[in-house]
Amino acid sequence: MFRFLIRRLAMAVIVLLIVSFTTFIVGHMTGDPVELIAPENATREAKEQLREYLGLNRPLLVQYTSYIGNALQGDLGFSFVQQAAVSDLIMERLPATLKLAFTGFILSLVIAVPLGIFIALNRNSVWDFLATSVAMIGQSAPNFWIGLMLIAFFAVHLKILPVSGYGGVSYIILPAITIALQSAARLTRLMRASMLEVLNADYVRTARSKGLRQRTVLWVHSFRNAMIPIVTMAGLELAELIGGAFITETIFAWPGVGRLAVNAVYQRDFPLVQGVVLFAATAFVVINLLVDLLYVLIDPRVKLS
Amino acid sequence: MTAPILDIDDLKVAFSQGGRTIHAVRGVSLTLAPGEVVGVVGESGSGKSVAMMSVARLLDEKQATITAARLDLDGHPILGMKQRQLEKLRGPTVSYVFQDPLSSLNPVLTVGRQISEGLRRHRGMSRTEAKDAAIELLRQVGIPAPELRVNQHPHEASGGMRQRMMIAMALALRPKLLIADEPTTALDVTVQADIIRLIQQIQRDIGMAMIWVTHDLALLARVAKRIVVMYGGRIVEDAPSSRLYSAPAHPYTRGLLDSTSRFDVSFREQTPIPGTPPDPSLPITACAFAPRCARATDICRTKIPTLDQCGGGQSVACFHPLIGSAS
Ligand SMILES: Nc1ncnc2c1ncn2[C@@H]1O[C@H](COP(=O)(O)OP(=O)(O)O)[C@@H](O)[C@H]1O
Ligand SMILES: [Mg+2]
Repeated sequence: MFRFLIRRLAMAVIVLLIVSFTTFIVGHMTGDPVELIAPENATREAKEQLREYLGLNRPLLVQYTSYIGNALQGDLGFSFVQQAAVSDLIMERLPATLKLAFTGFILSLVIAVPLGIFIALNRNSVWDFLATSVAMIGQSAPNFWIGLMLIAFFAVHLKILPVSGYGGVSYIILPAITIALQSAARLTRLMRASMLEVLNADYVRTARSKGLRQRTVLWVHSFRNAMIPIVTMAGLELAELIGGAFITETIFAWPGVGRLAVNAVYQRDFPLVQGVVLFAATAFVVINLLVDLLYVLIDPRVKLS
Repeated sequence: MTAPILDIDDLKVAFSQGGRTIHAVRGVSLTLAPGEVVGVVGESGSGKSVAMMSVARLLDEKQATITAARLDLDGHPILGMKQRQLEKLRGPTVSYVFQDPLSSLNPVLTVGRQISEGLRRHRGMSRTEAKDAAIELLRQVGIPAPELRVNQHPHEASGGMRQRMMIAMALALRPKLLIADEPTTALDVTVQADIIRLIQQIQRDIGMAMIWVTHDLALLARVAKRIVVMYGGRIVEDAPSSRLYSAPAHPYTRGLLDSTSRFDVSFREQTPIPGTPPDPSLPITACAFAPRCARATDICRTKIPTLDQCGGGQSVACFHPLIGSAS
């Protein structure tokens, strides 16, 4: 088990190095930062001075190493556009993002797990057909469309919820539903499939052959096994919700990291884009590590590998 | 005569699968006295497992339709029973050892937990009592260091050990009837003999009735006094094992015997019967073995033979049995 975790940790570090290096290179290829920062009428000498001051005249690898070194100390660089430290900008927006991501995540699980189990137990029923069809549509409907439809209906037509913005509970409902729906659709289908597979498993037949109560067979023998694939998938969903709610945050004017990133791209604020990407990748990797830990807890077989 | 532990008359099981109907069992009758050991043999797909699973109604009844003129387990007609009543019979009255111990044990629960569950459910034991009983059972089936094994998960044991755990579990409640469905097929040849001996020894100790299912006729010579041969979802021969080996009445039994050398310890298939088993999705109107049978005549292709006595406790479903002829 220890070796398993060490290996996962090493893999996480490698992934982060690759991501950071790629964003770093891409950031440096898309334009000269000095041209963006310097006033339009600056002289060549002034620009060279600025370049030297920023350390941009050093070899790329040296620049990258110092970027990583600083990142490890929590310094992700400076946004000249916003005149603030990148890490401060991210930290400022992070609570809003986490609030939305976790609300959406919980909502998605609360829908998907019971619904998936219910339709697996009543497979081929009307409920199964309905839920499976809706999930299939939900899975393929784009986020911005779902968001706009929700706004049109609940905010514009019924006028019971705010159109967008950040504030009390009423503000989070529509964006949370928007980000939860696709994830709930995927998880419901997975939960159904996983439960069906487990219910057909030999060990469930063994459990029934011992005369155990139906609820014991369901909750003790089936549920835990059926949750194993769900845990992995849910981890990925959460990581995606944290690092990828760009569109939803933009539609609902939600002041999170996603919207920060979108604005940064428009303003060609490379240090900020780079910082957000690195942050999102880190969140992704850390959540996956946590999922691996959780895995060890529910599936004793993992300890072997 | 004592009341039978199992009394099956004209059992039929059909699965509906994507609009098709699969007739897995097409009329099986079998009666078992308490303490009796019967072997059930037949090629893969002949309906052995499905018939056996029907005894405790373990099949998924969303797919399977079970009918029978009689299906009595220890005097209880189980076909009309509610789940609650059935649960009381599963474990203490009938118990199973399945083919593949790895897939048949729950990967996320400890061995001890899986053995003690039945004891807690049926005997009302406390957690500690049941755990002690589980350790004792593991010791009885020959597992070293049972106090350690009891807290382990199935994947931590070898194939042979897992099947011993499965056996301990099946025997925890000293069932009146044990159904062992190919208990050694998934195991290493080297441990097969040990497991066979273990099951036999326990069967004698408890004096329980037992059905031993296999596709390997040679194995049954050592364990069952009576053998039932299945083909295409029906019983084609039912005879004391001594007679079945020396004077098989059904041409299919003859074929099975020829394809297995009794003296070959590795149970190697020698000359398989030519042809293929009948398609379970088609209705039958004749002897299912006729297309593969050298003795088949017109009547074999137009009428279904019934299972009839032919002396010496032997029954056969054949219009041209091998009895009396020098075969
Ligand atoms: N759940 C099921 N759905 C459909 N067909 C099944 C199912 N279980 C078994 N069968 C079919 O029933 C027949 C008998 O199977 P089985 O009893 O497992 O054979 P055996 O144990 O003798 O090898 C086979 O044709 C098999 O494909
Ligand atoms: Mg079978």
